[in-house]
Amino acid sequence: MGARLSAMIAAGFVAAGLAAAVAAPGLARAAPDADTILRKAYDNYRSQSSQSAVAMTIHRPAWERHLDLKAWTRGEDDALVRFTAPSKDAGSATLKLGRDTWVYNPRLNQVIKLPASMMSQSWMGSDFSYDDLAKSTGIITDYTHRLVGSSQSGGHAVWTIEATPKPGAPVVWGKVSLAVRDDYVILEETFFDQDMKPARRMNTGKVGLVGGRPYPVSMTMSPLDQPGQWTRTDTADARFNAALPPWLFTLSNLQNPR
Amino acid sequence: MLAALAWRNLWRRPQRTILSLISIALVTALLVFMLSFQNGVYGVLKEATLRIFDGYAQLQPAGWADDPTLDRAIERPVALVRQAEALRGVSAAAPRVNAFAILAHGARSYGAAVVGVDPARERQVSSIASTIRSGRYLTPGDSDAAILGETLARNLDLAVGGEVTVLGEARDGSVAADVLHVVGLYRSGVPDLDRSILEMPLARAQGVFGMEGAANTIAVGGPSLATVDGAIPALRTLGHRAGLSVRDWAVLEPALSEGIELKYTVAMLFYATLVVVVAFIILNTLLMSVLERTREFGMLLALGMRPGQIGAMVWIELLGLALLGCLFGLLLGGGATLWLQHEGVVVPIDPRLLAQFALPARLYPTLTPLSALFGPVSLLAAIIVGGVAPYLRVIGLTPALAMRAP
Amino acid sequence: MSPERGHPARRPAAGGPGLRPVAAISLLGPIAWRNLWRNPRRTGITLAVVAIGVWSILTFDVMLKAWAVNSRQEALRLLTGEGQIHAAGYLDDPGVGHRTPAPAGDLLAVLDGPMVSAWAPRVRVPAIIRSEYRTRPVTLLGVSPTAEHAVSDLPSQILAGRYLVSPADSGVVIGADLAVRLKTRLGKRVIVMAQGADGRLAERGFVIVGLFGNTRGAQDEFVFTGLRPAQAMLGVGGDLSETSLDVAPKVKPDVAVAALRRAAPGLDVQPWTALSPLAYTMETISGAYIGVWLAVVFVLMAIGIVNTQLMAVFERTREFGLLQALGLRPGMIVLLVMLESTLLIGLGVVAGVVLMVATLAPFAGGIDMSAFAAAAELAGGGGRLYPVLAPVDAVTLSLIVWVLGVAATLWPARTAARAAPVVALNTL
Repeated sequence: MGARLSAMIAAGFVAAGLAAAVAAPGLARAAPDADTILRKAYDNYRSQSSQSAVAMTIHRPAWERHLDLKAWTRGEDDALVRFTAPSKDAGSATLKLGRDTWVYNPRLNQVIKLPASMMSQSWMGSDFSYDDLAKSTGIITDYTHRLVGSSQSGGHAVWTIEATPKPGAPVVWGKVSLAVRDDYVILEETFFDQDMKPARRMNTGKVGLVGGRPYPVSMTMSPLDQPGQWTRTDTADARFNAALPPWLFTLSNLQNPR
Repeated sequence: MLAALAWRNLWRRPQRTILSLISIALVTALLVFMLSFQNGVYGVLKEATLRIFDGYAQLQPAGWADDPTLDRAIERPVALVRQAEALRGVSAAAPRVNAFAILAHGARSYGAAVVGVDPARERQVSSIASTIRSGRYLTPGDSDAAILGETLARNLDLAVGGEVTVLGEARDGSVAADVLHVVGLYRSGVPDLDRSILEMPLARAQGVFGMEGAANTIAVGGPSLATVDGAIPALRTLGHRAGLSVRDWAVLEPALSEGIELKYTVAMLFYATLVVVVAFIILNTLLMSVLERTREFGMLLALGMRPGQIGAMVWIELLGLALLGCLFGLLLGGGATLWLQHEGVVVPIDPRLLAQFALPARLYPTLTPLSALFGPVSLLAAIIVGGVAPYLRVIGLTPALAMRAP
Repeated sequence: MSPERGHPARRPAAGGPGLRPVAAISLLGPIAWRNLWRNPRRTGITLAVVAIGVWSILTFDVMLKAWAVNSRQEALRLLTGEGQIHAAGYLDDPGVGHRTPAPAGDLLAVLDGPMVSAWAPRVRVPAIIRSEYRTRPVTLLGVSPTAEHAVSDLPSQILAGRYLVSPADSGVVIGADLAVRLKTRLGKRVIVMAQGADGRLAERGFVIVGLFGNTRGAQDEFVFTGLRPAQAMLGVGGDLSETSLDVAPKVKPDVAVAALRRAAPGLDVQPWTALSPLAYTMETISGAYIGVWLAVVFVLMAIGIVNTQLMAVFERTREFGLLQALGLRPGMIVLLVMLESTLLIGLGVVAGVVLMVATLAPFAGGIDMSAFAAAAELAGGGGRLYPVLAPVDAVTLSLIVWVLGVAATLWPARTAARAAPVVALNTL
């Protein structure tokens, strides 16, 4: 027992030492590499599967809309979003399986496959396109990453990562700059055009505890060349890595939710 | 005094004078007709292209042309339409909602332009209504009717009587969804149009796309392109008050404008060459007549008239001839053109083919100040300048030799 | 017989036995010829008028027809070509689902044969182009640059950068106006997305290597890349969406189309007249207008020539009077005049034809229209005018002018010839 205790103490010291090393400011060489940070950040954000309730606010110079929705994701490719409020949008749903997308409209009671030509159209009038629902993990595969800095904020270390598109990647940005907190919450993602001018920004307004993990509860996407225009998502409740029934991601479920 | 002499000279030889007058007049008349006819041809080309869908002019919200989103809208189209239609030269102003949506039927879906139209006005502005091949066009009483291009219908496996689903985004970003009944299919002869447009009643489109009574564009039509062009300044004033821009035909169809510009440049080159050749020929003929009068000039010289005076007298004769001839020609050509402008010249193409694309069966030559005056004035100028030649010849005459000329 | 001044006396019918026609001509012919050169000025002027008149008619005929052809081709030379080959159903739904294998066997033989002057293979599908700021619907064209140069004007209308250099070129050439709308530039990267053969959305990044001019509409719609990268992106192997072709100059388009249809019965072969029926109808209207032009030119020249002839006869009243006084009968005078006309107009016609050939021969290679296009602010293009000499037309028109010129003198000659000698001799 003495040996096990000393092993535990030793392990504890090592762990504490590691933790201290991670938490210590300015010790960039002790931080994990950029790839790992991003992978963990996206794992935190999406995981193997997720189920969440989200409130979306779409803001334009002339008006503002609020929508409530429930979203289920499976892996990196499949997603189902169903709107629950307001009443004129309730029941509308979008199903993404791999690279195909279908939309359901309750008034028409029809499932319509989204033609390729509409993939860049805005999703429900927000600043996201149907395309955006499909490609959220491109940041990992299509870019090379570099840790460029580290700072302190609210008791956390914040890493700044610069992602540069790999040659030949189907990516339109000049570079993407991310700010990730040491508990792997993405605080900010700025998309730069090819002249290195910021064009779009995703900003985390509030970090909270959701589904047992720190999470960017409130995120706002704004196109920087169009002032007064943004879309904010507030995640009220979520569960991660629970087993989701396979019938959830089918066309029949899209039309007739169980 | 020289002028009086010149005038009498002309009528001393009536046959030759009348002959020259007739030639000059005919030539001038033809030149006037030619240019006016050319205007008529270009008029047909322009009108036929614009009438398909654009209209002869359009009122648009600022920035709509570059970024045609629903929220760039004309808030109170009804008043504007009434004011536009009250203008001289405008016969109809058709308000439209211009949206882009998914059309679906069965398992097929396609993106298309969905246009909300006012059927009675739309007919006067766009010829799509006249190219309906099956079924009928929209009527003012329709509520959920729709017409689409034949190609689009084929792609969606739709026929007259079928139902088509429209799914898109409304002005406020919410979902726009509707189901419409197909009442007619059109074929405009322009493949891109036949593949991409669905028309539905304006009021319904305004409801579905959340327009709240607004429209996106107003297309303007009139008895002819020229009359609408004439109304453009008034339209601009109207538009300016409402914060809208007015786009004339050249801006609506820049390719057409450039193409016609090119045709016009080349045509004017041909025309100028023609005028030069004609002037050369007429001048030569007049010259021949003058040269035959050498004996006469010799006699005048012997009688004491100075060579300069004789030269001037001859020049005045030519001038008088040319002026009279060109004047008659202008009246003759102008008159004939105006008559044809009213009656029209029949286009020598199978009328059924023309009807298929709602093309007019008649061409209307258009008399403009340019077409009326370019020919006569150039000819006159050429003769006046060319009249120097006999003058120079006369200067060199000596009485003795001259009187012995055959 | 009491001729009063101004009233030509009535003459008895020509009395005495007349000479037989051949004898008359052989007697008067040389006199007619010499007469022409006794008055070189009058002859010279008439010659000039006839020569220029004939030159005008013939040259305008050739040039107007060349212009009509050029004008028609203006639309075709953008992208359509004189004919196109597609898979059945492509024209209704121009997507990746309707494609054809690359031409082979009989079809390839016809395309490479004498009926077709040039052909270009293309991938052509609806696509979306995306920059950092904007997204727009376009038509993606995967092309083979050398073939494109032969059938389309577009490759020579590059405003900045360069056109594609090979079918494997993976750069992209877009319209200058589209670049502005996308808020992008030469050298920047864009994404092109299109539905692939597997039904999924395919996307690639491309660098903009060139910007082209031409009409606004063309600039906003077409995005060019190499044939191979387009095929690879869409996953279609070696297949094509369309084959555009130009028919050899002397061959009728219908004949070429028929031959192509026989060689490829499962494919959709269409001449441009069927592909753009409205454009075709409008070109036919323009063509009718050329007919009016030609008629007007002809009438104008005819008036000039007839006028000259009539004037000439009126000038010779004294001369005829003299001839009559010397014993020549009116009928013979008319014959003399006719012979003179025939020779003179004939000479003029020949001169006119020679002039026409001399003025047009140097331009057999075609007249570049770009100067006029620039004047019309059309970015690039205008094509070339090809004057094509048509011997049949030339001969017919010349003959008509000849007959007209000679016939014009008939009536005034008869009148002048019948005037009483005393009256005629005293005419000023």
